[in-house]
Amino acid sequence: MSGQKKKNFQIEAFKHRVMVDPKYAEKTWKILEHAIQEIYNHNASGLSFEELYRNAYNMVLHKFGEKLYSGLVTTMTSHLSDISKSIEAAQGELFLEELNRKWLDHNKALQMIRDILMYMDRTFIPSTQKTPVHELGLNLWRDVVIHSSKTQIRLQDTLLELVHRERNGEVINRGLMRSIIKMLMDLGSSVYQDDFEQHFLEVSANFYGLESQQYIESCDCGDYLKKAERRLNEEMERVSHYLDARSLEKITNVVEKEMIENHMHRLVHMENSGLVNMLVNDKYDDLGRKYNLFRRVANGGLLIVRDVMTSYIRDTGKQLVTDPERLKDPVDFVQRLLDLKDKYDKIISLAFNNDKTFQNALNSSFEYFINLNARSPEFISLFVDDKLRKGLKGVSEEDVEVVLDKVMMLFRYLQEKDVFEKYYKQHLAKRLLAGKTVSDDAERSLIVKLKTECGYQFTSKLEGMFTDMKTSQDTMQGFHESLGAELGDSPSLTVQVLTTGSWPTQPSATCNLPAEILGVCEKFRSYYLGTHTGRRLSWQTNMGTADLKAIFGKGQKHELNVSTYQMCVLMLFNNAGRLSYKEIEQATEIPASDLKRCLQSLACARVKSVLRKEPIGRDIAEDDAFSVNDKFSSKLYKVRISTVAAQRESEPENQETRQRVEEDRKPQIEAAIVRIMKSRRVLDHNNIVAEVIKQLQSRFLPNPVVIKKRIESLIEREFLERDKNDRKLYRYLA
Amino acid sequence: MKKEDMVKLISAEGFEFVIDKDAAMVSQTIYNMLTSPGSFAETQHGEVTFPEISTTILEKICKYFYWHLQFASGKETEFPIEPELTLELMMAANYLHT
Amino acid sequence: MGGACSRKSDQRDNEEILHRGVSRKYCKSGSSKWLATSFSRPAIDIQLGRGNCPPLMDLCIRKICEDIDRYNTFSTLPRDISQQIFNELVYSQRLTDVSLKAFRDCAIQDLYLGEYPGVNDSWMDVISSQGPSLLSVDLSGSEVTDTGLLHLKDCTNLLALNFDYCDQISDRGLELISGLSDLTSLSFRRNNAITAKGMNAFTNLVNLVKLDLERCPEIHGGLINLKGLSKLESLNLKCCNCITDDDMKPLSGLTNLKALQISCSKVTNVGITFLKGLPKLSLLNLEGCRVTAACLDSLSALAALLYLNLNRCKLPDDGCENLSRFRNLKVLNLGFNDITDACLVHLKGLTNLESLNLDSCRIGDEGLVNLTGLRHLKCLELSDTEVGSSGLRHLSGLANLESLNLSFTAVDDGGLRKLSGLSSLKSLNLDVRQISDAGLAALTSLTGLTHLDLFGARITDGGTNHLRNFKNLRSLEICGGGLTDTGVKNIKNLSYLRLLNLSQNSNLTDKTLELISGLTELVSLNVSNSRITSVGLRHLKTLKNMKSLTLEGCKVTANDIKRLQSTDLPNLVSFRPE
Repeated sequence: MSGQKKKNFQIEAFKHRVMVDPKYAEKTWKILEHAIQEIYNHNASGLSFEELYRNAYNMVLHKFGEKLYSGLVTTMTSHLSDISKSIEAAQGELFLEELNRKWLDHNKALQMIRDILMYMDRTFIPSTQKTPVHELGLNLWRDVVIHSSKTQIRLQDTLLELVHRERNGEVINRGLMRSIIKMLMDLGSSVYQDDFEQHFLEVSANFYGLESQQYIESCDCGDYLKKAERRLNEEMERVSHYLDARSLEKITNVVEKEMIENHMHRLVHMENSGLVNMLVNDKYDDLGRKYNLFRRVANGGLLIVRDVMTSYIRDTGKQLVTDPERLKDPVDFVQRLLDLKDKYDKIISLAFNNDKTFQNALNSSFEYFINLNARSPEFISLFVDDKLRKGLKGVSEEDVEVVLDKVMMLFRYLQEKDVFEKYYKQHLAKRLLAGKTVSDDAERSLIVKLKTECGYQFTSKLEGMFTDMKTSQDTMQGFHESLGAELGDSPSLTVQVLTTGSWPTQPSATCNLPAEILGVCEKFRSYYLGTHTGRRLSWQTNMGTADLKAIFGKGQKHELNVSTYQMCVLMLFNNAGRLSYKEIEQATEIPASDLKRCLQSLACARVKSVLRKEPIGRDIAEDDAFSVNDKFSSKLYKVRISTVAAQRESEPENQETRQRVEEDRKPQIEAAIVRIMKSRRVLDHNNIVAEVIKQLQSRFLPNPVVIKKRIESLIEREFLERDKNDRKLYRYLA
Repeated sequence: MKKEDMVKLISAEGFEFVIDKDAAMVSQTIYNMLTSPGSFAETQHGEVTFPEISTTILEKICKYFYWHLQFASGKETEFPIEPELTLELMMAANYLHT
Repeated sequence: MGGACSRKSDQRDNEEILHRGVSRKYCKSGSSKWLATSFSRPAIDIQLGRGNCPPLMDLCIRKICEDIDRYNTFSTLPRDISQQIFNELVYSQRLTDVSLKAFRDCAIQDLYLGEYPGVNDSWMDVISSQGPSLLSVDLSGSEVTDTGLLHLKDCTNLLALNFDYCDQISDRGLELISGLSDLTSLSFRRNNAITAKGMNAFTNLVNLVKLDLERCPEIHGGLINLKGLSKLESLNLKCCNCITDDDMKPLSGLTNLKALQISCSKVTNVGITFLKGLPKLSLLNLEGCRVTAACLDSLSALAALLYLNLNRCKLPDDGCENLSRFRNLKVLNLGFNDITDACLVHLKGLTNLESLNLDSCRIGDEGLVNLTGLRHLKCLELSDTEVGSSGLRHLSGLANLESLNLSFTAVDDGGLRKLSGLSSLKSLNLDVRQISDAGLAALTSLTGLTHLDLFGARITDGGTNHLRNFKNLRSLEICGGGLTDTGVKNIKNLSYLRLLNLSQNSNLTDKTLELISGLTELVSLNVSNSRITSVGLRHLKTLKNMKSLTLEGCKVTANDIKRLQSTDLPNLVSFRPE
């Protein structure tokens, strides 16, 4: 760019209107002041925004910002004083309406004023650290109108009075209320808090303190809770309609404190309507309400509910499991437990929001009382036995699963899982051998569940039993195929070969089998040992069954389904009319207790006794005599002579089983001790006991005394030794 | 285009520019004029007179409004400013807060 | 826009030191300096090309600056607008002694001309024409002389003046500004001509809050003139080698003094005794002073003391037991002293400490046990100490630790596991040769790291896999020589990186530059002594924020980089080879 050209384009600064008029500022301000007046008088229509903005702009530009600002403060203050007076003059109900109307007016005016003074807001105010126009307008409204001596208290009282009336059921003008509250909020959260909220909370606390006192004296628990819930909802609704959302927590806290927290104990323990009453009567709605209201109380509202529920369940459960009447019927006993569990599951799910802490409380309660009765494991197994024998017939697969899952749940509560295992094995054996299982699927499903719960070891023997059953089927097929012709007319034989150790066999002497049977048995023995060398077979005659064809006195033909023992007895009568107990005992060599039970079922049944006993009576005596009952009759061709089936054990039997369980525990405890000592090498007594219990508690709770004995035994056998200096300390040898 | 979507801007010399309200409201000052709650004359008549802005400058301002809208929609070009207009344009921009 | 009336807050001394706590002097790259340096526009922040439409106002101001020669005066413009034009001219470096004339009588409030080229006495006429409006002037680094200062006497409302590095100003100049009694802040760093005689001018400046005389070697005896400056809060006398104990005496009555820096002066224990009565003194910098541990006794009377710098004071263990009395201290610098583990025992109770510097002290693993209770520690400097892996366990509970320097220590891979719980850690210096990939693997839980220095560590490509855990890294240095292009693949996704130093890895090729071309936040890059060639430079075109580029020992010439700078890297201000 050449110097010449540059000169041509030299630019003069923007030409302001040069101020010649010394009264410029005063005149301009008058125009603006007048406009502000007109705006407050609703006469703004027709004013030129551009002209006003330009005047304010030029005042700031010409350094009259200070005059403009102070003029604004003075004018606005004087307008607001007038407004304040007119609000103060409003009578009664009109007070709020007038205040609201004037507030809306002021707001609108303020926005207009801010718009025309925008340039001052933008440049003059930040550089002089003054309050921006909008904020200034709000501050002046607060100081001149809201905090005027005649308005401040009146406003507060009016608002609180309206809330009070609404609480008492009157309909108030919520729109107006919302508008006024919004105004207080717009003036700053401290204005809302100091001029309203703080007093509102105080008054509310008094109100609900009184009301709750009244209610608690006159209402039952359910009604009280309904009222409390309604009040709480009302307050929440009030906040959403016309209060600051931040008040929600504060006011609900007040209601919660006054209506719930202060009366918690009384509400829970209220006679005839408290928590226990609701639980007993399954009052889901009331319970749900109680839960939801108490949950709101910060310091342990639910804790009280949970504690009372827990102690009630424990009491109920303890009563149930220790009631001697209940011990008579194991199936009913377990069913009641299940019902109790169902009842509380339902309460927790319907009323207690599936609260985990409540579920835990329920579980720990069950664990507590189920183990109060040492026979619980046996009874649960009996319950399963009952279901798997007959109870599940015609029930869908899903329902079977439901029942089994419930059983598993009870099983989980058991401390002595090994005792359950013992019984379960016995009961399963009987079901399998008697062919009494209803559903193979159900049986196996339960085994799988036990396996997932307790691991492979727990169920390996049970599974062995199923394997034996299957193998035996194949063996019998082979036996008949290879010896079919040779067997001819001899009685058909079905043998189940049971692996020693898998089954709960009691060592029992084989009874004398009838000659007809003995022959075919021997054939099977030689067949089996011929295919499986190196094995030993012994007959478990106490566990078998037989089908006999019998013809009675008047020619009635029946097929009798009996046990092996019963068969041995009945076969004797093919060759004799009348036999004494002694003769039968000699001929069969059945152990006395079994023989007595066997004769009882043959001769003492009320309706269809196969044998007749002399003298007639329930019990079998040594000198009783027996003969065939010629008058035997039955509508059915096939008659089942029930042995006294798997049942709850008698007291001595129970003792015996327990003893066997204790014996079984010994090696497990020893194994645990050795495992622990192997890794730790040196450990003191208390720690061994603690660790052993920890390792075994999934199966049973080992008794510390027993553990001590096992330690002694291990010391004797030189697995462990005592430390020479500290007798409490053990060392691992080997 | 509806009438209420347009606004008339009048220069010191009385020259009228009818432009979209959207464009005009790029200026914060004009935005306030047209949206302020009181029924100011400008809102009522849909026109604004600028006795201190010359026709040349007002025309340039209107061009800027439309350039601004284009720029905002992604078309980023240069906005040419004639050297001899710059100062006056700047003062107008200051006045119009744009 | 606007904001023309705020004074630039000039707090650099206190802030600088309190924030950094530990001296970063010994970080090799000076990396933090780069990251902290701001080149943003002072008042107008036009962001072209980012979807933000520039206001017409800004377009006009820029246009004016482009055509600045056409304008004779802005004096009729509103003050805030001329301020904006002025700031834009300074920013765009278009302001000259000629264009300055247009600003005569503009009533501008702030004139920031620090380090601006060509400023001399001829500018002062226009500067002073702002008259009573002028509130602050920064002329640091200018050619202004005493004569120039004559002009300022009409600017009676001046609050802040900065004449750092103005070596042509002398006692006479001081006298000329002695009438500006409103001044609250005055700075004359590195001035050889100011002497005790001229400092008589200070007696009039009764409103001074902040006085900076750093590196003024002739001021001995002049501080007597500060005696009446009762409002003085901050006095910087760093590196004034002339200052002696006698100079401390006049300070004893300055009861509002909060910060005093007399590092590298001749002050001894005797001088320190004069400070005992300063109730508000919170910052005291005695770095390199000839004090002994006995001065701690006097200092312990300073109840408000929060920051104490005793770096390079040659303190032995003896006498350091008095350190235990400084219970309020937040920052303590004991670097480069002759102290051992025995001294650290006395720090045990200083539980308010947030920063502790033990650089190059003779401390080892045993001593660190005394730091376990310093739970507020954010910053710990242990480089060049005898600390090894077994000492690190004492640090594992310092949950607030944000910065830890273990460079040149005996720490090895095995010890780093102890640091894995320091989840607040942001900066970690591990310039330790025996650290390898395995050590890096132990740190992967420190996902908050923003600065990681592995300068000399033996990191290989395999180790870079662990870098993926450090998503927040702002700076990274791996210069152990074991990296190839393959390892850089794990660096290319660290998208916040602003500083990257991969120098000394001689196998890196142009492929590396291609890989990091997506790291658009990069401000500083160093790939010196590698196989980078000028062909690879094109990959750097995307790195628009780059300010520093170092490619020494590569097949790249200064001209190659200059070409790149002119076409694609407008922000590049420093590069090598030059």
